Order: sequence, then structure tokens, then C-alpha cells
Amino acid sequence: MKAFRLMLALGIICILISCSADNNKPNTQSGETEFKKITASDTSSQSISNQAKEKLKKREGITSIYAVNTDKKLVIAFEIKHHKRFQLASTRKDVHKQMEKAFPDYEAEVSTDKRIVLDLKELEKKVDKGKLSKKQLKKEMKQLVQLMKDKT
Amino acid sequence: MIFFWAFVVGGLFCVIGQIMFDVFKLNPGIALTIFVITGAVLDGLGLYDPLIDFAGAGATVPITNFGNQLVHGAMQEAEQHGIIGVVTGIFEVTSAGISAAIIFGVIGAFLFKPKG
Amino acid sequence: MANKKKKNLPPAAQRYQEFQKHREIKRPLLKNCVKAFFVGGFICFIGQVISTMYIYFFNFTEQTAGNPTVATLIFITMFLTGFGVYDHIGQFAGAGSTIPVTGFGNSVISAAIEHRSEGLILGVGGNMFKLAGPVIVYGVFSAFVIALIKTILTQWGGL
Repeated sequence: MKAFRLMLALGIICILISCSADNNKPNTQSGETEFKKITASDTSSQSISNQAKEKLKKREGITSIYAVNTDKKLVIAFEIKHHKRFQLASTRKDVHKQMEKAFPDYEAEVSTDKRIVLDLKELEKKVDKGKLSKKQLKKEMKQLVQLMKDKT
Repeated sequence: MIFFWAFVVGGLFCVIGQIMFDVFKLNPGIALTIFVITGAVLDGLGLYDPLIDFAGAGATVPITNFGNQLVHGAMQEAEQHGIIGVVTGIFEVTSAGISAAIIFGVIGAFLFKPKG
Repeated sequence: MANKKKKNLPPAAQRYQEFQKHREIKRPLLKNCVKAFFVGGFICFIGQVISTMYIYFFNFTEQTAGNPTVATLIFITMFLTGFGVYDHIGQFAGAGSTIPVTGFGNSVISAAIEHRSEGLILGVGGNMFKLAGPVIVYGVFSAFVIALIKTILTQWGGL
């Protein structure tokens, strides 16, 4: 009976491990940083966020970058390779410093949170389609920054 | 990937607990207390947050996280209000675990009858 | 301390203790550890699934998802405890079910259910934290000491 349970547990584990490995394959296999430049320019220029992406791309171990900017703010979210997540906090700080130095006119916000990554990805798509007015973009950015600062 | 590491790290915490039970013959209450204090100390040294970044729920579900959050709440308040914040801020972040335990404990007492 | 206690005992009791030590069932450490690893890991895995769900489907960030995850786990524990399932898991897994917050939840909830017959105020209210009390007391106190030291170091020590 006990042996059976142990086997059951082991079986579940095997399934879990194989599943999680599968899910991650596309991310690690490519080995390159996943990002794309925003081309739409009718509402507000995204050239700053494109520059930021280029800069971040040179960093080692970053798997995906998303960035959006208004004329005052620059919000960046990125993901790094899993075994580097121990240094996540210091990497984030480092990137933040680098961005503030590179774009002193902009208020830079950097996040590595999964939720922010998802939201920023959506926002990028919207901006790319050119559907967002300047005001809407500002509002969305404000919400994002607020979400980032939320602690408890 | 984070699911896998949550599993491994969480499992390792439990193995340490099992060793405490079996090798050092500690009773669960004492072992849990040691775990919570360890969590608080680890956060004091700044080691617990990187572990959470790495293992997700593998670090937030074990009881060590309780100590970590207690210190976090105290430090958060201390940054704003100075030394008094250490006393007033302790439950700032932790409330979820304790309040959930109390609420569901009372509900459970209404719903279920004791066995044996 | 233990030796002192032993010497104070009458010889018959001393002999009994030797005998008891000899006959004590040796706990299978490795097997227990493996069980604890898999069950504890599995609970943390479920926690990760729940918190990922909160992140993807609700407006929670990685930081804020921790609290609802813990609450959800304790909610599930309430049912497992009430139907007597958690006891079985505990017997099988040892520390694997004690170390995660579900173990903390189980100790509170089972005490509440058990002492229901002694009345709601003194029974449930008074005994709820009988097992979990030390955890909270020493957790809070050690957190206080550590936060105090850290605050003093950062604010006045200039670290």
C-alpha cells in the first residue's frame, strides 16, 4: 500500500517535471532575447523604448524585454534566465541605473514582475496598432506604475 | 521552470523539517518555531528575497516565510516612522496567514464535528 | 541536563530507560525524508499554481499574489482537516505536511474543531492557538529583535 502511494507520488512528480520543462522550451531554445520594435509612430514616438531595448539586449541572460514610453516616462519590464533569478533584485537595480543614465530626461521604471511583463506586452501591442491616444497611453502607464509600487 | 524549483525548494524545506523530527527528536511545535525564527534571520541577512525570486511558492508556502514577512512589515514601517515602526508594523504584511487561519478555523468549527 | 535527570531516577527507572532506548523503533530516516520531500514539494507546487493563477487571471503582481495564495491554501486545508484527510496526509508525510503553511492552518483549525464542545468562546476561542501560539509569539519577537537591529544599523550606523 505504502509502496503504491510512493509510486503514485513519484509518477505525479515525473509528469510535473516533464510538463514544466515542455512549457519552457520555446523560451530557452531560441537562446536569444525576445523583443520587437514598435513601429507605429502616429500617437507618440516609441524610439526611446526601442533604444532601451537595444541597450538591454546586450546584457547577458535576458530572455525577453518589453518597453513603452510616453514623453516623460519610460516603463521597462524584462525576464531573465531562471538560474539568474537569485540576482534578480540587483540586476533590476542595475538596469534601472543604466536606464536613468542613458535617458536622463525620462522617468524610468523597471520591473521584472510577471504581471507587469504581461500587461506591458499587451500595451505594446495596442501601441503598435496605433489605437491608443496619448491620454489613454498615459493613463495605462500610470496604472502600471501604481501596480508596480503596490507592495502588500 | 518556476514550478519545478518551487517543488524542489519547498521539498527541501520539508526534508530539513523531517530531519529535525527524526534525528533531533524535536516536537513539531518547537521545529515550527525554529523554522519561523530561521526565516526571520534569513530575511534580516537579506537572503530570503532572492530565494523567493528563484523558487516562488517554494519559498513563500513553507512557514519560514512567516518570519520573513514579519521582518518585512516591521522594516517597511521602520523606514517611514523610524524605530516606533518596528513595533507597529510587524503584522503589516503577515496578516493573511493568521487572519485566514482564524476565520477558517471558526467557520470550520461551525461546519465540522470532531472525530473520535 | 538529561544526565542529571537520569541520575536522580531510581535504579529500576534507569533500567527501564535503557530497555526502552533499546526497544525503540528506529525511524526510517531516508524513507521519511523522501516522503516529506515529495508531499511538501507537492504542496508548494500547488501553491505556485494558485499564485500563478492569481497573477494571470486577476490583477495581482508576484508580490501581492502571496497573501491570497496563503489564504486559499488555508481555505483548502479547512476542508481537508474537517473531513479528516489531513490527518492521513500527516501520518504519511510527517514534516512534509507540517512545514508548509497548511500545517499551521491545520493546527489552528483542528484545535478549533476539537474544542467546539467546550463552547464557542472559551472552547474555540481559547484553544485555537494552543499549538500555533508559540510560532506566532516567537516569530513576532524574533522579527522585532531582527528588525530593531537592522533599523539601528541602517539609520544610525549609516550602513
